[in-house]
Amino acid sequence: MRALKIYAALFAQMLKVRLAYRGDFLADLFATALGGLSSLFFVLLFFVPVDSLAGWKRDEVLLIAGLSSMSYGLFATVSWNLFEFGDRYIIEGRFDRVLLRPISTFAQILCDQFRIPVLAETVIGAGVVATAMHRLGIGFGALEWLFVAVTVACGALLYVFVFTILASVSFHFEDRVGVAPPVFNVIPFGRWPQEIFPWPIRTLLRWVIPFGFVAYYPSTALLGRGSLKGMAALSPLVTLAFGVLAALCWRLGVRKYESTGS
Amino acid sequence: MPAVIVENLEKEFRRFRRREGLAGAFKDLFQRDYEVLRAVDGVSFSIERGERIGYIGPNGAGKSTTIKMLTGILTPSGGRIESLGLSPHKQRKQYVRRIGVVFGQRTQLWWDLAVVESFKLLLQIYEVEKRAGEARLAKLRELLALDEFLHIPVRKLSLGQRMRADLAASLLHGPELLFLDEPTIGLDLVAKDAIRALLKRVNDEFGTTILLTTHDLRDIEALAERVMVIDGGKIVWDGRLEALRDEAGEEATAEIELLEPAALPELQRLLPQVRFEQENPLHLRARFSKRAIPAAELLSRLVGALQVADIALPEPSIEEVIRRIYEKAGKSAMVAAQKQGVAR
Amino acid sequence: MNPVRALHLPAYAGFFVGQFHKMLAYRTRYVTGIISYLVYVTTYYFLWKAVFSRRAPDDAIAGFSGAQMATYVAIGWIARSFYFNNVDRELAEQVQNGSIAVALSRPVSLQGTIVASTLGEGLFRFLFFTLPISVVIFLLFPVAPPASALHAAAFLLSNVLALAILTQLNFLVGLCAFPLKNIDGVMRAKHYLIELLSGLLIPVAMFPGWLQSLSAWLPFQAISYLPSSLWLGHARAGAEWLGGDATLIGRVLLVQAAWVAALAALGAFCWGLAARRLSVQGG
Repeated sequence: MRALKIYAALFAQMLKVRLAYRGDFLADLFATALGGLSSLFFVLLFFVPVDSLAGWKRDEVLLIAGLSSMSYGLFATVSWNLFEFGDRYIIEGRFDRVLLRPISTFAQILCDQFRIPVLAETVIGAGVVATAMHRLGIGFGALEWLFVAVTVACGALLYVFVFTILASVSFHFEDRVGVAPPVFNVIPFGRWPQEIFPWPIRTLLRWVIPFGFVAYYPSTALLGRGSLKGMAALSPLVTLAFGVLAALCWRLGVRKYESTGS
Repeated sequence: MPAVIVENLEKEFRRFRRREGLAGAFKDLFQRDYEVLRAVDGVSFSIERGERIGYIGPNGAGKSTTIKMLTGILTPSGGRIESLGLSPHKQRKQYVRRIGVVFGQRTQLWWDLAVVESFKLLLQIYEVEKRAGEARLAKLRELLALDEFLHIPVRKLSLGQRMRADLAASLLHGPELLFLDEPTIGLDLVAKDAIRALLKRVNDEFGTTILLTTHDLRDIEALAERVMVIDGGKIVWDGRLEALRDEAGEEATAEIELLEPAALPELQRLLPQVRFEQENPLHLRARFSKRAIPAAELLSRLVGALQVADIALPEPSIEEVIRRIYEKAGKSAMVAAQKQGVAR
Repeated sequence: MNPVRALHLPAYAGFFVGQFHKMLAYRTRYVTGIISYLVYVTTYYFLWKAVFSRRAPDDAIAGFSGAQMATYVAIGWIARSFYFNNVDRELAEQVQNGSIAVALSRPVSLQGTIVASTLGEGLFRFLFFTLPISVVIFLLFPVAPPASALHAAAFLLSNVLALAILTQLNFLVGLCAFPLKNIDGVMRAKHYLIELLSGLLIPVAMFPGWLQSLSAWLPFQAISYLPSSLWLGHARAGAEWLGGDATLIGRVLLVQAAWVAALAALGAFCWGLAARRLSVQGG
């Protein structure tokens, strides 16, 4: 709770700082929005020569991609530090300072930097989801809103936890790049109907790097299609399980740091 | 009851050894070499409340490692630390609320935020009660003259200002113990003096116990009441600054300019308790202990025996003494290593 | 005067070897890099496979059959493993921490040193990334061989030019760090723009007409689409302006070289502006 309060205070400060350089902020916002749009634009381009993908129509695929963008934007805004963790904190030695403060080390890493323009991706994603839901004739009742909100929150947290697990590897292997990049590159897998992948990849995305739970399974539930729509209910549980795993990995890493200082 | 008790503290590291050259780098891709390093090797001391201690030693002697263990960042490999009644690494969150730490090379403030905003966040992080925090900040503003840059982003501060801001940041939560790692590094002479004066005032005003590491011995002379010297992971000297000064004072040198060359062997026979060195035929240096021969007596006997143009008695520096301590420690370490070699 | 000396080639060679050395030191990046490319190819291979699986074998989309599309995806990503670099980020870091001033004091041009070190990185990538990645991908996915030996050679050369184009583009993006405090957004936008418009994710031939005409005037398709069409041996929709298959090789290489020259000139001009600002205002 206290961490949340500090979090909010820091966020307000960072926003103030970024807005002070208005030109810079707008340029960054524009460029980030362009980046976010291009990944959705790919879906549009893709459906120019193609009319359906494994039985999924364009708007249905856009629903998955939009949900995925919303979660990704929230995640990337708060947790860019997880990608730079090995470099910024271990190699450049900032973790010493983190250990000297009386709040959770993990909360501090998440608080330390905000990439506010990336929130544009969440906003664009929300627009796409709303449009797709409208065109697909899905109602906009309280239940649907709640479902989307929970889905996006779980998705964002799931990303955070997966990349926390990977960031804690930096405690053991000193390396600027870390092991996150290939998993980061798996994120786009989760933006497409899982049917197109052979079973090993589907299993991987369900149980190992569970990005299928971010947008795909919730979309099947929203659309009421396929035999796997029940999987959406598992989304919060999977998120919770990865949260526990992430906490364990982080603790182990901090303990290692305390004994070697690097 | 001392504020800090350290007994037989030890820390070992395993270090990755990079191979040389392109072929070596390629080999490192597949197989890595490690060596074991004893950074701190059986260190014991205790610190009383309110003390100002200078902790010095050559590079790689184990200073930073000791500080990191004292602040709870590192877990010792052996021995015991009890600081403020707590075990720093085991009760870290509780412990760090009661200490302040300044790293001269690295700021703890948020680079893009105004100084005062960083302070507000820190007050929140350390859960300082609002009134107490405001009072503390007001006091520090006056003490450290922070008002001139309170609303400027940290990255725009000069190094001297940044150090003052960092010092204030480490004191906001009213720590009982203050650790400073190279607090004057990179500062100009005026800023260094300012920081020294401020630290002294902080110690007077709040009774904060201060332990600082430095490479600048003027920091030690201006600030420390007590000096600990570490070398090769072992404490090789621990005592009051005056004791160090006395030791420095005992060992004296005289620089003697002559009108005509002197016969050195004859002079040595006349004054066996003095060690003479000949720079050139007309310049002698005499090294002596004041206990063995008082300076006045030496001077009068020299004037009697030689055609003296000028005699100077340069003020002996503690730098000289510490150099001697390092040398002695180096020698004993070498002797110890040789003995080990024989034993093996 | 020795022409090699005059061009400061030994000095540039130092940057070449240095970059090579630097790359070797990052063993995690090496392993994770290979996995990443496998992930990329897998994603897009199955995406296109799903599209073509519901069509008759000879039912092509914009001139691409299913088999050709598989080859196109694999070859595109394999080539990317060679030409990719982070010149923009490295340059921006130098601008932000002020070490860029050192570039002004060196007797060699900044653009030259960057080209030399990206070539060093390119050779490293070719030997240690591209070759093993190719082996894995050729084993896992159905990739057709190049149209002819001549096409294969042209494909290799074309990718060196693609590397040069991307390097110059990245140089320009990196220079944005002079007016902007933070270029994360610009780098991200460039990244997606290149992935999309270079034809890496979807062939230019499948773009809607207006985007095809627009692409003809942009350097992006010279990074991926044109080199890959050399491997396949056909000029395709969206590149009709290149003429027939017979003159394809010569024209692709010419267009790429023209883009290298144009972007390098633009880069030199912008760097000139930045350098003047640096020496006048001290950064």
